[in-house]
Amino acid sequence: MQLSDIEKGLELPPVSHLVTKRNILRYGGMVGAFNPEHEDDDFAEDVGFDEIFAHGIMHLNYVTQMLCDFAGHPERVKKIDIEFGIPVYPDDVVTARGIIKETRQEGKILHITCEVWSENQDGDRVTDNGIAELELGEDWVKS
Amino acid sequence: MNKSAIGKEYPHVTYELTKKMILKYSEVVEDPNPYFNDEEAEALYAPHTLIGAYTLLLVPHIVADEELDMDVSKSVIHTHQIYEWKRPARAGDVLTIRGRIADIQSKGEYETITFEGDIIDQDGEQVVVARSTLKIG
Repeated sequence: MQLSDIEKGLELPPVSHLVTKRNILRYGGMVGAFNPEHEDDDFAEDVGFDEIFAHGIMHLNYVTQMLCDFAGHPERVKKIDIEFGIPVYPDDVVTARGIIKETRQEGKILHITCEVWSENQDGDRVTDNGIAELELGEDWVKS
Repeated sequence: MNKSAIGKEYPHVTYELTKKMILKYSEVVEDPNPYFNDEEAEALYAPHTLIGAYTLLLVPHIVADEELDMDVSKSVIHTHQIYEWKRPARAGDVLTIRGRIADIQSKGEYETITFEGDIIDQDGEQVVVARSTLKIG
């Protein structure tokens, strides 16, 4: 696929991950998380959740992974604006999805606006109403 | 929370983004992109959400802020996120987080708080602009 093949309605190749309790705990440990909802099942239950759940930014990376895989280089991913939906619990399978909504050529750069979201194994959205912006150069190719 | 805290800035936090931090982050979020995993490459880039995750380094300042009076014994969930990446962060960058409270709203049973942060590199250039909203209660 070349730059000229990119058009409105094109779906980005989705990215799926099985979320493990171990990785939720490791994620919090990396950045010194303060929030016991991501560490302590009893606390999470006390404040209304089923058990601990993943940090939003942790599973947001599945969306940015999808964007960066498509764009081909980290520099080409410029912006995301997204809402979080229902919590992501251990053993959920989260799939990030996207569809191209708009393209605009400016000089040698193709500016792309995508609608992005992610959903769990039941099809419930864990991120929603996302808008992402990519900038691809004329050397862009996708195998 | 105390709405008079809107506009308040927190002490700048500076850290060096190391290869080790990037490699561990890529492993935990299971992002296999070679740009985020190849430590022999000319540049090792940070996955796009890493810089956002490390803005959590500000959290102890926020939780300890008596003027703000945020009750973290309640449910705290992340509801909205904006990141604008000016360039990808790389191993070796020395990054400074400049965070401030952009908004606080009461919604009856719960409250929301919005933080804005600029992440600045060793040359004073913007790397990421972040805007995060949390729902509390």
